[in-house]
Amino acid sequence: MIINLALGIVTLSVLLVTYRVLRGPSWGDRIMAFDFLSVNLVVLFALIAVRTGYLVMLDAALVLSLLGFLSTVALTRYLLLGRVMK
Amino acid sequence: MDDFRLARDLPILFGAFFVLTAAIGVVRFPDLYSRLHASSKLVTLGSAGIFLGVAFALSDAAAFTRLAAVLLFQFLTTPLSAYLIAQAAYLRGLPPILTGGVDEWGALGRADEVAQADREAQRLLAAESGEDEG
Repeated sequence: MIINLALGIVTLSVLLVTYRVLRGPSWGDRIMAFDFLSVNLVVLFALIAVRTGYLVMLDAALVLSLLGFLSTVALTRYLLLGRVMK
Repeated sequence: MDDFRLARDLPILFGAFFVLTAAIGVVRFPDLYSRLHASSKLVTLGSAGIFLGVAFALSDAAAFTRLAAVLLFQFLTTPLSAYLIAQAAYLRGLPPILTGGVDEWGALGRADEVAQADREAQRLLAAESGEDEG
């Protein structure tokens, strides 16, 4: 079944990117891999919604995509300017 | 493959292929800027394909609106976060490995001046709001 194949492929890509989060020579690599990981998890949640029929996973995917972008902005701001907000 | 449905399965396969390609690029490319190229561009295409296939698979109005919201948000924010990461890395002085480019801005590693200007702007802003309150 194609959904199972796609779930396997996206899980493999999550594992590959986790390697880059743990290894990443600079902090920029880690932030980039973390952002990529959040996008991958959003895709994974959408596929899980199809596989299991729980449409609640789509709400989780929406919230996770918001949080992923927000954390990327906060981390880059902190490392560039030394402050997140005020 | 008896239950192969073209509108559902073809976009999902397309998207999964591009997501895997992006992950391989993130692991294998030599420096941050080329990795950003792989992660930002390929994953946008891949997630668009997977969301399209998921929308066809679920064929439900509530699911469709949520997927459209996620897709729109991804399209807006993925280039933006790639830009932010590249800008922060450049200003913090991470040199690109691939040579042959021209540094037109000439600000590689000058993050402290940017942070200084930011603090100055914050100070001015605080002083201005303080005057408004007083």
